[in-house]
Amino acid sequence: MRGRTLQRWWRNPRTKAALVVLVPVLAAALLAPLYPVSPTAQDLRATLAPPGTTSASGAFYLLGTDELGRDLTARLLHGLRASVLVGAAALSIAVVVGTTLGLLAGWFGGAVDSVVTGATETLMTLPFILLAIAVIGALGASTTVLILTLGLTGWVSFAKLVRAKTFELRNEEFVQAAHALGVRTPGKLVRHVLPNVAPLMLVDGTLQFGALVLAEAGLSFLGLGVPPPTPTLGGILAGGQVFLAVAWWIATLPGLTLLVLVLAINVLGDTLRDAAAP
Amino acid sequence: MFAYLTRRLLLSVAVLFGLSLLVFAMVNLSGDPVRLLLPPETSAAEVARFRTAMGLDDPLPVRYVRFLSHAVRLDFGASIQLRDPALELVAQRLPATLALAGLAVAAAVLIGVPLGVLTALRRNTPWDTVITSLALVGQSTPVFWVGVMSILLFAVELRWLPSSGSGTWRHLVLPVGTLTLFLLGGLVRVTRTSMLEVLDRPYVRTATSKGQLRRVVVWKHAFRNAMIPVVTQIGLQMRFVIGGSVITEQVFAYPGLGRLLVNAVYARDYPIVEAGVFLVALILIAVNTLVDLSYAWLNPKVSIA
Repeated sequence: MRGRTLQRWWRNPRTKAALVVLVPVLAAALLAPLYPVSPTAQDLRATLAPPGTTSASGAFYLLGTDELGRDLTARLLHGLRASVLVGAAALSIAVVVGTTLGLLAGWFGGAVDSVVTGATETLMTLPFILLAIAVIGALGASTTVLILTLGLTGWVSFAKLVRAKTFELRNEEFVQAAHALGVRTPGKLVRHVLPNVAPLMLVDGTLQFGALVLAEAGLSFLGLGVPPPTPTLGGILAGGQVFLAVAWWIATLPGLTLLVLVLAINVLGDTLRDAAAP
Repeated sequence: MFAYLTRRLLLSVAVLFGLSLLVFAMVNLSGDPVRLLLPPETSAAEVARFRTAMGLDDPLPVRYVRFLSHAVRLDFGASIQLRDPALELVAQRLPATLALAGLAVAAAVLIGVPLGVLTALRRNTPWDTVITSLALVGQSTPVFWVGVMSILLFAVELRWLPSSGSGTWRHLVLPVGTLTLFLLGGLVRVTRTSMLEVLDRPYVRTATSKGQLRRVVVWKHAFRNAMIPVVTQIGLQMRFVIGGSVITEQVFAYPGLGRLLVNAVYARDYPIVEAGVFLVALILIAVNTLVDLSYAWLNPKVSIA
């Protein structure tokens, strides 16, 4: 992004609002292992303790406990960490796969383009959850399968962006000039096409990150995500639904955590889009 | 028009073909299906005879062609748990899901489109700011959390509505409401963007400057044209509707297709998963084709050739 665009982005008050929320939340996710209480340690004398309880053993539960007396603060921090890490890993795969396929399709056209467009079209028609059900149903739920499923279905928007831009730039004079100067194809692609799509990719990547976090949470809620005992926000929420009438906090707090995280990401994506294309 | 339909049909066939490859690969990647079909104490000779009878000893391409020839006739075999034909079981659950999804889409359109038009006409007023912000919040909220919170409020605290199950209209209120909220945010934002774009076009400004009534300009000149991207969006959103429905059904123990599929995954009941994935894909392809055709009706200038 150029200096003026960056300045426009930074002057937007919503940018700062989003960052004020997002930076501490991401820091909490990454630093979760430093929290002194284990997310799986049980305190059977303090089960279903409401937020702000001090148990008989003297432990203080800021956000309460679940049916096994596990500290909800610790579980939410670790669940947040799983959401952020799985989302980031899936996003990296999606960006790499989408960029590569988009460059290939846009540059070579013809049969390569047809195959990539066909794959994009297939993925755009089908609900992500249905594909995930097919894949996870066959391979079983594990963190690796989850990340691969999210990553290998989330590349479509990046491929479309990169393909369109590559197609457009292929005939531009400066790319033709590079060709005339004998720059080989990979060099041309990387040096001339990628910088031109980078701002749009940043906007799309931010919004896609939010979508991937929500998708991961949905699959975990269905029991198809990261398997237990690793806490996930979707998993904690699903477990808490059973105790809704006696312990509202177990199901309520993971959803709020997700909402805060994804809203901050989406507002940030919005401000980036406003700055990139006013 | 005819050429367009042909192209569209070919593309649909290609999509289904890709999907069949995916499903076939899945089932064969996941290990030996015999293990799931026979009791664990079966003898080795028995297993071998069964494998030959089922054609599992044939090479992969032969098995794929056989799978495809069955799939074309919508024959996905019998459910491993229930022994009934998988497609029948899936088809039985379809009406419940279509009712949930159909009502939610209708409600989202009836609420979302007017709100989107309102925000566009009152651009940069408090109305616009509040509704647009709420729409973004809606888009950032996990659908299952909305469902669980609605149970907490309307079933646990107020005791107005049942928290799960199906049968009466009262069972539909919370699931439909949840799915509607899930779809609403995106719809408001798309309508707003599209309406703003159209209101800025020369023919709308011309209509205004020649003294045409504001009402006529907005509804006759702008609204109809602004609806084209909105209809596309609704078509594209159908996959989110189904995705959201799968989760919503799970939250409310609503006996639809999504819940059947999720439970089939738990039970490793592949025929059900295959039949369900195929049926939904077929429906979505049909819907997207209808959406494309509706362009011509919305905007006579668009000739699909």
